[in-house]
Amino acid sequence: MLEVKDLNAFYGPVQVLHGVNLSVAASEIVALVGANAAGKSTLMFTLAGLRTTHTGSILLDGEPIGDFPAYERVPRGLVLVPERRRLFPFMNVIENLEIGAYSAAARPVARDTLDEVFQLLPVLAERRKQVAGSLSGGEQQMLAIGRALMAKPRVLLLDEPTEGLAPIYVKLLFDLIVNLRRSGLTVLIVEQNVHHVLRTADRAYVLENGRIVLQGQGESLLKDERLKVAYLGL
Amino acid sequence: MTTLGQLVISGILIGGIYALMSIGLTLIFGVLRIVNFAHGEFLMLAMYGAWAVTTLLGFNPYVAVLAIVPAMFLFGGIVYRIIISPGLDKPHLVVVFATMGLSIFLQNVALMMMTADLWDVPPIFSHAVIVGALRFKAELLLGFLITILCTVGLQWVIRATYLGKAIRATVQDGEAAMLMGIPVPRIFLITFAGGSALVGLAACVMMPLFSVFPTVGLNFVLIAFVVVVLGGMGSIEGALIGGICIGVVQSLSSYYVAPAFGQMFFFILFLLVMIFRPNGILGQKGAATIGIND
Repeated sequence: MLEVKDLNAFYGPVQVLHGVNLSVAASEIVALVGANAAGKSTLMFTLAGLRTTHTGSILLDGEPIGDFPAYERVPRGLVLVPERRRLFPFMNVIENLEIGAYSAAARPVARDTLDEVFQLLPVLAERRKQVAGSLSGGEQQMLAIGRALMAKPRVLLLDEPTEGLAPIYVKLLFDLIVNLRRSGLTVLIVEQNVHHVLRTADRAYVLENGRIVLQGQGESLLKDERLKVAYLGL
Repeated sequence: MTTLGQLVISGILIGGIYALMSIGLTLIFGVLRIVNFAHGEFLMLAMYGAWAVTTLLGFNPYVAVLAIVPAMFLFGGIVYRIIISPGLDKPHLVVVFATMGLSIFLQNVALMMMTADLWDVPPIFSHAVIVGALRFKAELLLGFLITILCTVGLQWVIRATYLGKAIRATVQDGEAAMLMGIPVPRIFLITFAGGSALVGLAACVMMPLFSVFPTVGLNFVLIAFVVVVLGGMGSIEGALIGGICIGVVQSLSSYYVAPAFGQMFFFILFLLVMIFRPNGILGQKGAATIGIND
């Protein structure tokens, strides 16, 4: 579904990713873990088409999308929920969701998608007229995901979705991810919460200093001594 | 008392015109975060256009709106593509000097083609509007009504339409907007062209009231900058209020002090607002960095 080959990414002259290869199959949940500054968010931004320049290829269903600007990757089904949610703070819940359905493919079915999102995330239905900036952290994260779902993604990229969330929302969020996969969505998730994410994910990649140093099945990686080394930098 | 009432109402009406010519500037600043220093020359160009349609083709300036507004939309789009867009990701001064250069260029083109003569169009209405003891030019009253319609209409577009929501999303978080599939460069193009089209509308409304000459923009752009900063940069209602304040101050001081001092008094007002309410009347704190008011 999503395939990354020999990806090098740069912020100006600074190279952050070095020869990254990874693939995500349809309806798979793949986790990307690693210490701070390992390049996880850089990889997510590069996949989404923001901020970095890159060499190497990014293929979505075999189609090279690496040269498209961010806003042309969305209609092709690749949607990123960025770190720190990045809602439109002065717009209400409904308006944020409407913006999610901006792309030409998503807009005609926005009404139906909205019902689905409300069913999946009932808290959003309760808060529909509330301004996004006034929601709690957990509600904001739900809105960020709901907004991305409005775009009808086939591959959803989640960057640190549990950051700063109360435990109850962390559980809710992982349940939601499993739910979404059941309905056919493909998920690539960056997470600090290693234990939780590796138990949920089918497979995982470990990123260290911009290189993939380890990969494997989710649960079995947890027992791997090398993960601790990569993660803690020991 | 009648004199005072007459002066205040005339001031409000002329202030409406000032607001109309400033809305495009504040809209462009609010969304693109750039100041178009050629704004006055856009107005000059559009006024020549309105003059030409009126004088050469025999239509009245209000009918010229149908030609000038789309023409200015197109002109704005071309300027955005060629001059603004390449400078957007460079340091701020690049766009500042690019638009200043454009301003000087347009002034000189106008000087070459139209000479320094003043051109105007004959009055549209032969009678003033009389209400009780007050009387004012019908052109001013009509201009004011157009301003109100335009402000309300633009607010509606920004609040209620899909394009308007995309514009607000772009202002609040441009990166997040792109991640939601909004083609931000296109939103910028439409906003810049739309702001230029509004200058076209203002020019048609102003043509029956003022003469046009190559540096006419300089006279008005100064007022427009004050209107925009006074009302709050990026605020459309703010531009209306700022325009009216300046119109009234100018009208009162011209009568009670001396016409030559009109500008001095509105700059005093401007300084007072800057000292006591530095974000403008309706401006949000930090509007220059976070965007148009919501």
